[in-house]
Amino acid sequence: MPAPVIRQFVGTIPDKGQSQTAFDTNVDAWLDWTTLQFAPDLVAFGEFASDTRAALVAANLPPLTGRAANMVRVNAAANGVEFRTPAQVLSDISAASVASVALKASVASVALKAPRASPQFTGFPMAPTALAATNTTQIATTAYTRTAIPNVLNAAGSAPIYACRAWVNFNGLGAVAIRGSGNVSSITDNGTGDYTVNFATAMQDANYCVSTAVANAAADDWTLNPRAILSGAVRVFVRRGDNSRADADKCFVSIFR
Amino acid sequence: MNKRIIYQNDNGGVAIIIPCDCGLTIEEIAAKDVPTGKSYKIVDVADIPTDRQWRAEWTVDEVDLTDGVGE
Repeated sequence: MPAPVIRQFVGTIPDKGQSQTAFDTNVDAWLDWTTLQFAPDLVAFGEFASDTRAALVAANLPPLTGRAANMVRVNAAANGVEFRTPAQVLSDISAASVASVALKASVASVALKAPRASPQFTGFPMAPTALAATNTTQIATTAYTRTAIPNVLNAAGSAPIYACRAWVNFNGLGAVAIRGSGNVSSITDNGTGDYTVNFATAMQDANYCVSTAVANAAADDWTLNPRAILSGAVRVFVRRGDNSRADADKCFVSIFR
Repeated sequence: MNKRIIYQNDNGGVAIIIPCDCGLTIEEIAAKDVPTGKSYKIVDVADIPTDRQWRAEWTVDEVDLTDGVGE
């Protein structure tokens, strides 16, 4: 690399006090000069950098003698290069192929896995059975639910459980109104002490059990009696002790099947 | 619901349906729970008398039952 050459601008340096025209001319001349002067230096610097890189690479290369047709690769330490014979290259490729086969097998295996989000399992997926009374987002197995459901319902022993399929609590006095209900779409006020409980979803048949109760402040001998029992509805009468019909303020009907 | 469904029963009296909040609309309940072929009217709760002493004497003119027919 040649030694740097000291150069000096031979024109007029732009400065205050110069006329605008002279100043502009001097600025242009200054810019032109700097461009011309420094361009060769930049080229020289680029050549210097290129030569330096080539020298560094050459310094790291092992001797070329006897290395015809060899290939070059970065060594394992990643701090130099090394030659590989054609046989070694083939061996390298073979090893990579084995790894590729293993990778393909892994990819195929992953493709058979269910996604984490909303997985849709097939076959007989299993999971650890949660401890009794677990109340978390843990998966509930069939074994867990068969124990948990009776426990939640406080049903001890082995007797089966039959759920209430419909229920209603209504006021039959004054403005007849429903206080609460389940699987009941409406009640029909047919007349004094005469109501029909209509199920939102019908029973499978009419062979269900009707459980009734009536409360009335005036007397204790009133009853609520089921009459017409249909799969979609049951008609009930409120009767006094003398068998006459009457309106009662608290009427309860439950259906079991 | 603050609505009631009325229709004329087989004895010429008035049957009043009190709907539940069961997920069905008042129209769906009327279609389901009014007996098949019976004309009905949907009215406000306030339109139903609260004095039930003469409940058996309540009547309704069938020509006024214009909201639909039980299915």
